[in-house]
Amino acid sequence: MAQPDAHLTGRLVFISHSGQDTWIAKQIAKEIETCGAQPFLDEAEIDAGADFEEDIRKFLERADELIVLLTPWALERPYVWIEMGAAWGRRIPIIALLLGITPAELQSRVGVPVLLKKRDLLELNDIDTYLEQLRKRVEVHGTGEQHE
Amino acid sequence: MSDLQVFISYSSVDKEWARSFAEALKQRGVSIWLDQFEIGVGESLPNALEVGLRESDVLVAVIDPGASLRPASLFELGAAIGMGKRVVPIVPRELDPSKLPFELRTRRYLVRDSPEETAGELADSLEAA
Repeated sequence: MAQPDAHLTGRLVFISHSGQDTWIAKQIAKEIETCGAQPFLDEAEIDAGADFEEDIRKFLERADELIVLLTPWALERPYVWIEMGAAWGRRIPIIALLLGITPAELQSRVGVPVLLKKRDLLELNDIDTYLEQLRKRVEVHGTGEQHE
Repeated sequence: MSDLQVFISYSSVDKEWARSFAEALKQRGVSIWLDQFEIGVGESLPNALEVGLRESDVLVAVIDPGASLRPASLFELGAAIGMGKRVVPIVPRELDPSKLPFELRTRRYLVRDSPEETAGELADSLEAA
């Protein structure tokens, strides 16, 4: 995508994921689109290069919701936690989708942020619960908002 | 004397350094938030931490020599950035900057010396701002 900003209208859902989970993240993005929201994949949408991290920051500032795909290896990415913190700071919904680790296992790990709440955690198999809520939020906020 | 409140973010390996650093800052009249000081008996950590983060003006990110960067510290860093707050990394002299995430690498930082010296430098820079 040559112009990163041009296609972004509607409720923007930022999907944070490890490169190893790209296929899964893309499936999630498709589901988000069918809900009428606009997904943004931090791996797939950004051209690799010097501006990579800068671009991520820009999109994260504009996101209406953050999905974090948490697999055991995704936990090792520093950006996962930074992005979660930024979403918390901005008071936008955080949805940590867990695959390969249970909520109890995650919360018992050393050094995991106490501000990440149980209600923010969802197992990937239960994603329909989230998608239903997303559909409702899209209805409330509209699909045609222009982000400035 | 600065009106700014400083949130001190650190990994548990640095508990002692952070405490000495915080006390030295207090000596300089800087208003600080350190979990070791703030969590009273019967008070909930998440609530106190939330208030501390949201009400602070500056986040100081203390990096230990091993750059352990625990999830909690990275989360606090992200929170400060998401809220548009100033971030001051404290970086060990020998640490290769490429080991730091973008959000720390690209900011002006203080070199980590003794807690007292580093506190003095931070206090100076806050007063100058």
